[in-house]
Amino acid sequence: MEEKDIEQIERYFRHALEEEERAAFERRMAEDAGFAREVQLHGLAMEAIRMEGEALLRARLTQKGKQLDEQSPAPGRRKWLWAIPVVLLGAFAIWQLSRPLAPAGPAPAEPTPQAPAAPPAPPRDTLPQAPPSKEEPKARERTDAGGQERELFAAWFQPYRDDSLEPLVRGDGDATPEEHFYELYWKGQYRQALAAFDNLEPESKNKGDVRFLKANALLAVGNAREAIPLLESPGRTRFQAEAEWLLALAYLKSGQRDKALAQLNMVAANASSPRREAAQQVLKAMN
Amino acid sequence: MAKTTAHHAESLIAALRSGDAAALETLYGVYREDFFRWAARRFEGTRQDFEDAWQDAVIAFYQQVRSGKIESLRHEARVWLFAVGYKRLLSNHRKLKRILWKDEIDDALLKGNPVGEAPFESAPTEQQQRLQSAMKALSPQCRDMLVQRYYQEQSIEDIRQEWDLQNANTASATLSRCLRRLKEIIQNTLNARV
Repeated sequence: MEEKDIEQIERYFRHALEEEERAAFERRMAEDAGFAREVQLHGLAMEAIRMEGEALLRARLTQKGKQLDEQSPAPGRRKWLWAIPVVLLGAFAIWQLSRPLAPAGPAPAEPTPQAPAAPPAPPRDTLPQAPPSKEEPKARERTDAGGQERELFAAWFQPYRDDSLEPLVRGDGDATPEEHFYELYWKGQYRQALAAFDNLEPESKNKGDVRFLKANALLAVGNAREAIPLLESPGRTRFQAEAEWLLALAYLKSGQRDKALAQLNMVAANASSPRREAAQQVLKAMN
Repeated sequence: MAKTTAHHAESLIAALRSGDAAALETLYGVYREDFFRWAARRFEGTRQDFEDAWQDAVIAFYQQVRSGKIESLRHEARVWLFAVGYKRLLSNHRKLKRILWKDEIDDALLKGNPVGEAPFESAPTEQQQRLQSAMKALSPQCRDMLVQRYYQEQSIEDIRQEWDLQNANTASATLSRCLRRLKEIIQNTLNARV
C-alpha cells in the first residue's frame, strides 16, 4: 500500500474527499478486493481508537465527578454526616453509663464497654499501644531487598519497551549520540547504553525521556540505588505513569518496603494509570 | 435571554470544537447535580444510574460537536444534555415516576425531539470487544498518541511538542508505526476468527 493510498483512506474517513474523488475511491473499493480490505482495516482501527478515546474521556469525567463529590457531598450524604457524631455521642453515653460508679474490691481485669460495635476486648485494642515489634520496621529498611521484595521485583520488572522507541532507519550517515543511546537500549545492551549516556550532551542528559530509559537500564543491571533519584525526579517525560510504577519496583529492589508500599498505593489509586492493576496485584502479594 | 443562551451555546461549541478539554469538564460539572435532582424526580434509579446517564450525555454532546453534527443549538446546552440523559435512562428501563411539575425540558421533549436520534450506543458488540482488546495490546504510548491524533484530532506539531519528539517527521513516523501495529493486531484477530 502506497503512502498516497493511506493518505487518501484517511481523508475518506474524515469525509474530506471531493465528490468526484469519493466516487472514484468507492469504485476502486468495489473493483479491488485488496484495497477494500485495507479500507476496512483502517475503519476498524479508527473504531478501536474512538472507543479508547471515549473510555479515557469517561475515566476523566468519573475522576472529576469524584472530586466534585468530595468538595460538596450530595444532599443525601449530608444527612449521614450529621448522624455520625450523634451515633458516636450515643455510644459514648451508653458506655459511660454502663461503667461501675465506684470500684468495689479488685478492679475488673478486663473492662467490657457496652457499645454494640466494640468487641469485649482488653483496653489495648482501643488504646494506642507501641507496636509489638518496634525493631521490625527498621529491620525492613535494609539496603538490599528481602526475599519477597526480590521475588516481586524479578516477577514484575521488565525494561520498558514500546514501538515508539524503535530506532528509525537512517540512510544518511552516523547516528547522533542520543540516537546511539536509544539504539543500544532498544537492543537490550543496557551496560553499553549506560556508557553511551555518559557521552551525551548535557541537554540530552536532562531530557525526561532519556532519564527514564537510563533508570530502566540501571535497574536492568541491578543498580536500583542510582535509578531511584532519576525516577523520583523524572522531569518532563511522556513516560510519567510508567516512571511512577518503576519507582515502586526500584524501592522494592532496594529493600525500601514502606516506600514501595506507599508508591504502589499511589499507582493503584490512580484510575488513569496503565499500571494500576499491576500495582494492585503486587500490593495483594505483599499483604 | 435568548441571545445570551445562543451566545453561550455558540462559545461552548466553539471551545469543544477546538479541543478544549477544560470546557468539557466544566460542562460536566456545572449541571451535574441539577441533572441528578431533575432525573431523580422523573425516574427511579440510583445515583450511579444518573451518573452513567449524565456521562453518556456529555460524551455524546462532545462527539457530536467534534464530528460537526452539532453546529448550533436551538435550546441551551443544558436542555440538549438533559434530554439525552432522559433518553438514556428510558433506554435502560429505569422506571418512570409520576412527574409532579414540568419544566422547559419536559416541554421540549413533549413538543419534539431536541436531540435527534439517540446518540449513544448499546453494549459493545463482540467485534467491538475485540477492537478494545487490540487497543490494549498496543503500548500505552502508541495508544495515547493514536487517540490524540485520530480522536482528539490534535495536530502533528502539538503531538511532537507533547511527546518531546525531535521533529514533525519523527512524530508522523511514530504515528504511522503505531497505526500499522494496530492494524496488524486487528488483522491477526480477524484471521484467528476464520
